[in-house]
Amino acid sequence: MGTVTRSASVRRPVDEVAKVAIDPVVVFPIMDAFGKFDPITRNPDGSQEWALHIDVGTIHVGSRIRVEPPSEHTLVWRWLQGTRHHAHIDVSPAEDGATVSMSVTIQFAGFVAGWITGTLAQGILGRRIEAGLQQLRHHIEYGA
Amino acid sequence: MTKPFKVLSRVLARTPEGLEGRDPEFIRDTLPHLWLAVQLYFRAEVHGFDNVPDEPVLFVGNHSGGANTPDTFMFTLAYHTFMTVEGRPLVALAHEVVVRIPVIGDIARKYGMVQAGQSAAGELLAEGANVLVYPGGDVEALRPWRDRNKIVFNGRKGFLKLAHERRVKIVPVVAVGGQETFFVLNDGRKMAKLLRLDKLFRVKSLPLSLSIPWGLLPGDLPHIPIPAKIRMQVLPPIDLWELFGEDPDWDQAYGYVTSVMQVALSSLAAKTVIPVLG
Repeated sequence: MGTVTRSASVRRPVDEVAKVAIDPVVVFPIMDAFGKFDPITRNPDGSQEWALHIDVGTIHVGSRIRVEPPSEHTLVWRWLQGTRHHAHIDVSPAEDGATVSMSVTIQFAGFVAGWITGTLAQGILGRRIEAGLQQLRHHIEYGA
Repeated sequence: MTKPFKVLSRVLARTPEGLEGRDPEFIRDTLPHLWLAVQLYFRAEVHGFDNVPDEPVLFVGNHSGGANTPDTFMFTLAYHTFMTVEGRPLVALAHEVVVRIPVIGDIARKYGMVQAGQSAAGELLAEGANVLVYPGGDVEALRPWRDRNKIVFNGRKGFLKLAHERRVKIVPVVAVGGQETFFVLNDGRKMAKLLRLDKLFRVKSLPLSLSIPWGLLPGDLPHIPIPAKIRMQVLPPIDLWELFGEDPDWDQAYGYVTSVMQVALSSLAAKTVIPVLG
């Protein structure tokens, strides 16, 4: 298991950034360099289920995820089926706007093979998160 | 004289500056061999030439690879392979150190390289050439490993003013992998300033680098590049007049162009499975 965290500074007020970054319907299509998200269903408790597909090198990580009802500045999801992982996007105030951080924790089966895959996946995931965050930052700062 | 000797004698011949020095026949003779070599060595991948309009444009790239700058070399070869040798010429603006080196400087000029300078670039655009600039220059080409997938233009906005003044579009070109052909351990800007290298040689950074065959070195010298995979993407053109009008806010224009390039660079970097291997 490994957790990968990346952050991006966004030069906009924190509430404006949070409005985009923690709404799955808005943020998921923007961050397509991170992964492909497809909506499945909305649950009565306000949570949502999505299909997530990430290319982690030669491994294609597919999951059905449950996105928790958003809190003020955080978006959290957890796997329901497929590759075991959980992730969160946090928006916090910064000197010249806001900081968006994204963390993904992923589990691979197997002691040695899982460790090797996890180690390789950390670099790949880091670059994917970075690419997704840059898309998000650009979208908020300059529009589509 | 047989063809290899003809090519060799042309390689060794002195070459004038500017468009006058560009030698399409030399490019045509050497291009297949050099492009094959680059494809094999760097597993070159270049996309997006269909974004280039048929009018003079300013190509703006992120610079990598220290003293070797394989991205410049690769883009020049790709341009001539995918677009044209005889048609609209490509002129790359290079650091004066590159164009002054005997033989290599001559070959560079035959491929259309000239010493970087805003007035020369403006004249070349007016003559109908496409011009390639790397605003980040040596600072970007010597950026540390941790920043290898970052745009580092160091606040330089001359390229924006040039494109606006000449009413040409900017065509951004992003590349990853070039900075994985050697290892830069730190930033080195303070050291360059301390040794007055910025004043004496226009060298803005002196980081510690690790390369073959030099090992650990302050700054960088031409080295044997590690055969890292290089990916390159040509992006859709940016029209500064259309976006920012007659009197642009240069900070805003700079922010926008570098932001567009950073998004594309990060997306390109996300294709990397293992650094160096590709």
